Amino acid sequence: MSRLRFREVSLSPRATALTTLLALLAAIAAGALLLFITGVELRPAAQIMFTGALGSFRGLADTLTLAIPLLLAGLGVAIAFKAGFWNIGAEGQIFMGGFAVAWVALTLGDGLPSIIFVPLLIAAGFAAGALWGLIPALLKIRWKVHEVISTILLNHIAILWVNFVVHGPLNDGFGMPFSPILPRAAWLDRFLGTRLHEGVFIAVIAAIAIYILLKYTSLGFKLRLVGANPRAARNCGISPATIIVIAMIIGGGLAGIAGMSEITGVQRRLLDRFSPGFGFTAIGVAMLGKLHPAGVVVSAFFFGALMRGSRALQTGMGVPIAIADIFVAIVIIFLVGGVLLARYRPVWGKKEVNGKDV
Amino acid sequence: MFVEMRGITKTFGPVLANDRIDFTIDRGEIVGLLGENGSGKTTSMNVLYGMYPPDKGEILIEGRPARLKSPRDAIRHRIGMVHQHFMLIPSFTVTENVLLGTNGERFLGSSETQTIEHLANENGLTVSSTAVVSGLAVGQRQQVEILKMLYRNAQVLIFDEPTSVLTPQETEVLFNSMRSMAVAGRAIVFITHKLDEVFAVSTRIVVLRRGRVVFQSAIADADKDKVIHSMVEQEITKAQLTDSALSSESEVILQVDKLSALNDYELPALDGVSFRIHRGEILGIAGVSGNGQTELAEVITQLRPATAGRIVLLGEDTGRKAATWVQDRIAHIPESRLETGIAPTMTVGENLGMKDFPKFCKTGMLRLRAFLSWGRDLIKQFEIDTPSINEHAANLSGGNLQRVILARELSRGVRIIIAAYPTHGLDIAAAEYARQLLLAQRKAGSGILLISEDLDELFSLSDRIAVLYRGKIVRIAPTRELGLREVGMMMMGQQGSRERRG
Repeated sequence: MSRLRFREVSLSPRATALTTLLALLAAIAAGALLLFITGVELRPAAQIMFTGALGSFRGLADTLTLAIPLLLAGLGVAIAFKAGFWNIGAEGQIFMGGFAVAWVALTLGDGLPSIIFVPLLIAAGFAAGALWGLIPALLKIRWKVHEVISTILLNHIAILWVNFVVHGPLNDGFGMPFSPILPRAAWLDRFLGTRLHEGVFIAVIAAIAIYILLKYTSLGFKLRLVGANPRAARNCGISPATIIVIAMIIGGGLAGIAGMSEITGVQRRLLDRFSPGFGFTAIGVAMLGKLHPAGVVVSAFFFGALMRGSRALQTGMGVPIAIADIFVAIVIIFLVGGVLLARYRPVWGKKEVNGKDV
Repeated sequence: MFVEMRGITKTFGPVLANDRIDFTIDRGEIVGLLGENGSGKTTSMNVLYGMYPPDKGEILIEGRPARLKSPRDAIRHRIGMVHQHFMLIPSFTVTENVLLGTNGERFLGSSETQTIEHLANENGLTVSSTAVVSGLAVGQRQQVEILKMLYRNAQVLIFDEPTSVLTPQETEVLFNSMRSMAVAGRAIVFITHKLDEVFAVSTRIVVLRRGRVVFQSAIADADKDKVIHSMVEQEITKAQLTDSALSSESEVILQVDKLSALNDYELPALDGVSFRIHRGEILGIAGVSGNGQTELAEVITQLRPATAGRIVLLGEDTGRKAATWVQDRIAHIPESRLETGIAPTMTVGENLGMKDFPKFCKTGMLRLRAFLSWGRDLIKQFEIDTPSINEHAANLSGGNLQRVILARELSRGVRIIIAAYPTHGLDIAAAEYARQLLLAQRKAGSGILLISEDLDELFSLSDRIAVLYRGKIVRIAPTRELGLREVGMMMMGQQGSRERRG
């Protein structure tokens, strides 16, 4: 019986680089086609996007600023995926991290020196994100609730929880949907009059730490083994449940720190919808970065530039925000899809028989 | 003749699965198709069901040549097959599952429910047409598969080892239904390993061995001994055990007491199994697959919980021990290499070190250089053919993957070895290599549990053999006291005569 099948192959690094490049070109072509159809002039659009994202000092700083939460949350998603846990909940973990940080900072108020305050807030963000990440892990282990469902639902809860607290308990008293400004000592400092803040160091340190964890530690080895084949892991006396719990503590914690850096570095107060979907984009960041910390760094920067460029398109050329968002989505689909699907070769032929029960 | 297969030959690469098979079946017949694993039973029937085209030979239906290029063609020619693994949608009702993929889809919710109910009653099936499949027991799910074929007007029904998942009661229901279908003029092919069942329900018996028909007869004229004789290979390679220095005084290394466990369908698979393995001994487990071997290996290696009984390793009860404590004392060569033995997306080096990596860890950090050089040594020592230690395991051949597993499990100096089908699917050289390794381990004082379907292998390697049938040990005895035919009979549920192998 002849039919079309797909065989999984492993790609050489060169082939991977080539497919990524081709996917990028196809993505740009498809994005350009969209802009063309909607009547946007391409040449100035390209120029504005480039200048807005990379070609100017301010633009570059903004790109980096956007890349910070993408990198932190992207690492969080990547480590969960590495352990075989489909964590779609980074957005909710970001919101819970941001909430915990604002609450702790406002409760403690002025009086603590920055050198103690900031690490304390990092810990608070990590703890809140980790706790939020722990819930779907335990639900899965105890009651076999699929994590894709539970993490998505927990996102809504977290987003609406923040919506509630900024209107209620943490409201600044002027009826606006945000909290009072955080104490000065809780802030991450910004550089050279831009919005780029110290969070960039936290993110880079996190990337290095995750790289070391995965490559050079016993825990990292177990984590990769559980992700690669949980049954083989059990056969080696490793409990997949324990490893998934640890992966979600780390992964949720990193997303929580993404929320922390957004609140203390960019917003400096808790506000409704403070993340424009960093946690969702982080899934694309992790996938495009092939779940490798170095890859995640590069793809976080790329996605940051893309977000910044589409904003420039909006402000500079009056392209409707919906079109700008669709443009970003198209690029994500092409790139992530291209990189993932390149592993499959279409084969037209007979069913393979592996000598079993012939 | 309703169906006539003439000179069917089918090869898969170098494997000759069917060698000029002639097979016929007529209305009203129940043909028991017997043979050991790999004898070509399933392949020949898959050819009839249009799953693969034969290399040579032809198929005649009611005297006219038919080209069956797909199951769809086969069904058009009124040939249906009930597979071992069911293809049902759990959230649908019986009727919906039966109608799926037919023109009847249009009639959903109409009078078809009654048609199917009627069809079930007529053929001795007890399942209700309005029941939802997810709530059905295994035997009833199988009935839905039968109904699917009957609804499509199949006149020839092929059952591929239908009883392997059934309880004895369900088996009885199935047999009654088979009989009434035959009486109504349908033709039934019944593929099985179990001799009793063939004699219980068939009208005619056909035995395959190595892809050829080696015996056939009407059931009334068939003699059980003759049938077994024809199924089991007679030539035996010379025993390789020369130094049977085993005495009952040598230390018991693994002891299993009254062990019971369930299979994946939550049905009893192991039923009060007890045995002991001493240092320097290989205990072979003989049995047709699906009689509890898989579960036995999994329970001992803690991949499956026991429902009763205990396991004692080196004198210590494993009941309250941590998983790592057990894994540190057991080498496991698993039955399903890719599912249990290998992480395909990890490297060869990582697969080699899956169990031993803690030895290369210091305060949680992996000493990568020492880890890799140790892995390279293993690659050399066990002659693993890989471009590099960093190659993904998925890119290695089956034989090399088994070498990776053997290297990982046998290089640890662990003295209890659970080897499930260690040579299955390997070429001759690789299989011989694996056997030699096991014998070397035995000599070094290991106790080995060897599960295999290959009787030659069991007889040449084992000090003692235990025969497992329906989750129970039928007999356990020193190999020299057992005859090949006797073991073959016990594997099929017959009490062996106490003949000695001469």
